[in-house]
Amino acid sequence: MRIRCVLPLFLLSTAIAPSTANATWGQGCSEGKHCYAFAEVGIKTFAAIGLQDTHFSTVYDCGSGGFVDNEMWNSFAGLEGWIEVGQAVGSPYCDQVPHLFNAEETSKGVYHEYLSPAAVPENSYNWYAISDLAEENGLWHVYYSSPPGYTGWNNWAEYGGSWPRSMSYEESGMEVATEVKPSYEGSSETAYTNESLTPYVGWSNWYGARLFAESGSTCILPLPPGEGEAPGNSKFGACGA
Amino acid sequence: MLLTINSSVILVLFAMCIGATTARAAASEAEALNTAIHYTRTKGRSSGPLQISSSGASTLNRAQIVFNGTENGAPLAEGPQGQATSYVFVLVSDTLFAPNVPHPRGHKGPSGKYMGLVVDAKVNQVDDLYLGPTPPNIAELGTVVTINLSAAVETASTSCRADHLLATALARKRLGARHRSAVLALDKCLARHHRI
Repeated sequence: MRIRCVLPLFLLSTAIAPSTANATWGQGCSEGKHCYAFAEVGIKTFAAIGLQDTHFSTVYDCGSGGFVDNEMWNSFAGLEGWIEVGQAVGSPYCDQVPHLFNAEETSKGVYHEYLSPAAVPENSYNWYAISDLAEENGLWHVYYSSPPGYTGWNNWAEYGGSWPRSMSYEESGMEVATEVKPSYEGSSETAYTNESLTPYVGWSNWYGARLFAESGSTCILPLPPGEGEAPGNSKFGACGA
Repeated sequence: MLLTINSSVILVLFAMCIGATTARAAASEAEALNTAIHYTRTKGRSSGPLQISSSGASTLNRAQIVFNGTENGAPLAEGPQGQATSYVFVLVSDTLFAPNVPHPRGHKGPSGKYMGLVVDAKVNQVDDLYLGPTPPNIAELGTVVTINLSAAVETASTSCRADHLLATALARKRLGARHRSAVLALDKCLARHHRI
């Protein structure tokens, strides 16, 4: 398990260039059809950790509701709904910097989202976790660590939408919901644990993780050696068609 | 003596200036309502008539607990942010709300008959969102007033100042006859511009 807090930018720089505003982009990406790039894995666990780094971002149609984010999703076997946490750029805060958010869609179809006025730094890994380690009772905690880097976990939310004690599916990456191709690049480092949220104590990589991107819309690459190479760690962004 | 009086006057004026600055820094209920409507029309992707209920000023954490229900836990914005003065609204329209919000690939985006919005008074932005088949019980937060916003009135409010319209609509409900003159002035403006 290797997690670094500095990620040099070069791997996708040729594939992901800041775009100019277009009427449409990619293969049908829009506010109504979100596009994604992420690492995904199916591990039964009590806690997942996602470190999110937004390298640069401009959401051109922020004023009409567009956004892009770095985030981690967790869901549960046989149930609708999910819990997610991360950092979003765009509507309604059109300051072009990432804002903390967390959300839950319960298995009963009730959605609750908190998107903080507080911004987090770009070009810095911000630490998030979704965990039921403390009680193992199906009441899931969302944690973040006040940036920069790891400074201790803050219990940020408790979600208990009739969930089981362990999650079964994990994703970490980006979501794009814009009418205009954004200028966006980010990276994500991941782990899971059944022992402790203390950094690296009993943490494991997302072994067997698969990388997914929307052909012609989003790009994703594994983090290379020297930049945090490990299963589930990736670098992604909006790419040229 | 003269010095004392002058100093007092200056102090009073200074205090008034500070007070005025503070008042301008935080959004009013009507301004927050404008923000909620703007959110609904843009990120919320809803264009129909709205029925809007407001419970007035509260705190973020109290609103979050009402949105989630205590048995289900809640977001717990920590420290000062959790105590941030916030306005809470519940909206219902003639169609489901399906705002542009994050969701995992392969899952249908969230939607709901009722949409709850919390507007942070300090930054005048929506920071908390509820969607569901039943309305959260915002009566737990304060006295609820409800207004109906038709498309015609919303369009007309551009000419007659939306904040004036909404402030008056809220005042009409909350304060009754004390704002009767403002209500009449607004009604005249709407009639003059839009014959509604």
